[in-house]
Amino acid sequence: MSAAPLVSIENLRIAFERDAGPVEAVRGVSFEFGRERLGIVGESGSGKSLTARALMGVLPGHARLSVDRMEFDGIDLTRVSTRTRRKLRGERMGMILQDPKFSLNPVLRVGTQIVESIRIGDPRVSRRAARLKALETLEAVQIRNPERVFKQYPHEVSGGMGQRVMIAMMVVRQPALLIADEPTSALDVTVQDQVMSILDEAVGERGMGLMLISHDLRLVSRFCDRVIIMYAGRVLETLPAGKLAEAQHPYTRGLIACMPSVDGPPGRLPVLRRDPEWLTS
Amino acid sequence: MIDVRNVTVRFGDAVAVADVSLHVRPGESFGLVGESGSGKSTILRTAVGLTSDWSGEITIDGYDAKSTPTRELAQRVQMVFQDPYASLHPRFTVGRAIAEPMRIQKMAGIEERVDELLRLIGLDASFRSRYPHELSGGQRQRVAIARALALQPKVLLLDEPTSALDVSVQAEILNLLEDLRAELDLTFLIVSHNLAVISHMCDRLMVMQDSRAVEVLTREQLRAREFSSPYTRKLLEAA
Ligand SMILES: Nc1ncnc2c1ncn2[C@@H]1O[C@H](COP(=O)(O)OP(=O)(O)OP(=O)(O)O)[C@@H](O)[C@H]1O
Ligand SMILES: Nc1ncnc2c1ncn2[C@@H]1O[C@H](COP(=O)(O)OP(=O)(O)OP(=O)(O)O)[C@@H](O)[C@H]1O
Ligand SMILES: [Mg+2]
Ligand SMILES: [Mg+2]
Repeated sequence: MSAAPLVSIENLRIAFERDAGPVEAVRGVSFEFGRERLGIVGESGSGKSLTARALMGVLPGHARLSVDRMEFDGIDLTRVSTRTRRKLRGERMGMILQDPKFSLNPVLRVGTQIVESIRIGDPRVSRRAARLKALETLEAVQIRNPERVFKQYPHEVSGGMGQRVMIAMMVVRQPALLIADEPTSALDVTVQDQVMSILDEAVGERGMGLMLISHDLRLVSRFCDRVIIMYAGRVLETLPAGKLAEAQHPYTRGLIACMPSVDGPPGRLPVLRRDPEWLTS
Repeated sequence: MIDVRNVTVRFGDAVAVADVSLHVRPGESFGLVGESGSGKSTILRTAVGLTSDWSGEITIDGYDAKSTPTRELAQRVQMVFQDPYASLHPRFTVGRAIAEPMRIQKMAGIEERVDELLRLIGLDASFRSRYPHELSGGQRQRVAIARALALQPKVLLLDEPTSALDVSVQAEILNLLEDLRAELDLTFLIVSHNLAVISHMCDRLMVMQDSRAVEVLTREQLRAREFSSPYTRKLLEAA
């Protein structure tokens, strides 16, 4: 890794106003990462998506954010104008949202959106060339009939197709940082592997930084360099992804134990007993 | 309990489901796996009356899916959608979203039932007043499951019910679904790309590819790797 990290976040806090007063959903998250593959796993509602949205600058308006430091490639994100942030989002940072169909424009054809995305990444590309490139990319993410999907509207594609369209759209833009929030949760392993290898290529060849948020422990441990485990708005532990199976924290160990397997025993799955101490320790 | 006979579904000139038949026994849990875009969600959506251009026959608990009024069908079969964002009304609070099907059916004791359902899916009562956009992905999915359970249907169609959930919440929801199935004698049709989930939950499964049924397996056959199709083999070997 080079000297300055691509992303550096220190003491990130995000709160929401509730009847009973403000409630912190993210409670002091700090991490750094470079041109690598960083996995983020953790409890549903632990603040993974909010952390990602804070970094992208797309938190909901009523969220209250405080952070000691938040930098992207040497740029202090807490000080730049909204305009610069928007420009950064268009050009150098990309995010694949957890709800793919929600983030696609419902009234524009899938192909049109990918073509636009290519031309945002590189305005010199002609429409024709962008169209070809879009079709190629759809094929690369294993879409069976790229010509047809190119012409479809978002509500006309299946769940897994929507996810792949989002990935195609973000990868063609060639961002320096890509945040992918559950990008393959609807894909079976065979397609998942192929799609992930496209992201891998972008990391390896272009030095993109990838933040992969996923519930899929197998995917994260196979695919990432490091993994952050989150619980109740905080980072519990950080591990080399290959060492996930050797995790020490009882939460992480409990997670691994909860996974069903094809050849697992019948009956109830083990569940996690959540220790109140995890909230503070 | 669920009878799908020679069903073909079209969108314009494109065939999304080609001559698929399947039969799910009362109290059985049946899995649907296969290629992305192969027509799994379309079969479920057709069974609850959400597609229009189709041929063949579907009956649920003896009720014909084509001719039974939606409101009547809704008391017997409910669906949990793959995309919980799209299935929850953005301007309805969680409490209202769960209560809505019960209000339409003019049920009594709705408020208590909402509390009970929230408890069941592991969200405390403070979630009642939240809107869908104020929830995490996994929380939204749990609300969608509570809503489907509200009318105590006999049949649940579950489209990727746990793919938005972390494995600990997944384990809780799968256990909950199993308990409910045993207690209330429910029948499940579950779509999942996760073969481990299918193997855990389902007595039998059907594999689909390119709008067609490839094969039907029992759990024992799945576990003994007794498949006849190379596609199933590929799917399982990668897992
Ligand atoms: N707009 C909002 N208003 C109020 N609360 C919110 C909002 N968005 C998120 N929250 C709350 O903040 C917490 C963290 O949410 P976040 O979406 O980051 O979770 P997550 O870790 O991504 O979970 P999941 O794995 O289920 O997607 C949750 O409890 C959620 O209910
Ligand atoms: N409203 C629609 N209009 C046009 N085509 C549609 C529509 N809905 C679905 N399709 C097409 O039907 C096919 C089957 O889609 P379906 O959603 O049933 O797939 P699936 O097996 O559920 O896939 P996934 O696992 O990715 O969710 C796809 O090619 C899809 O593009
Ligand atoms: Mg999330
Ligand atoms: Mg589907």
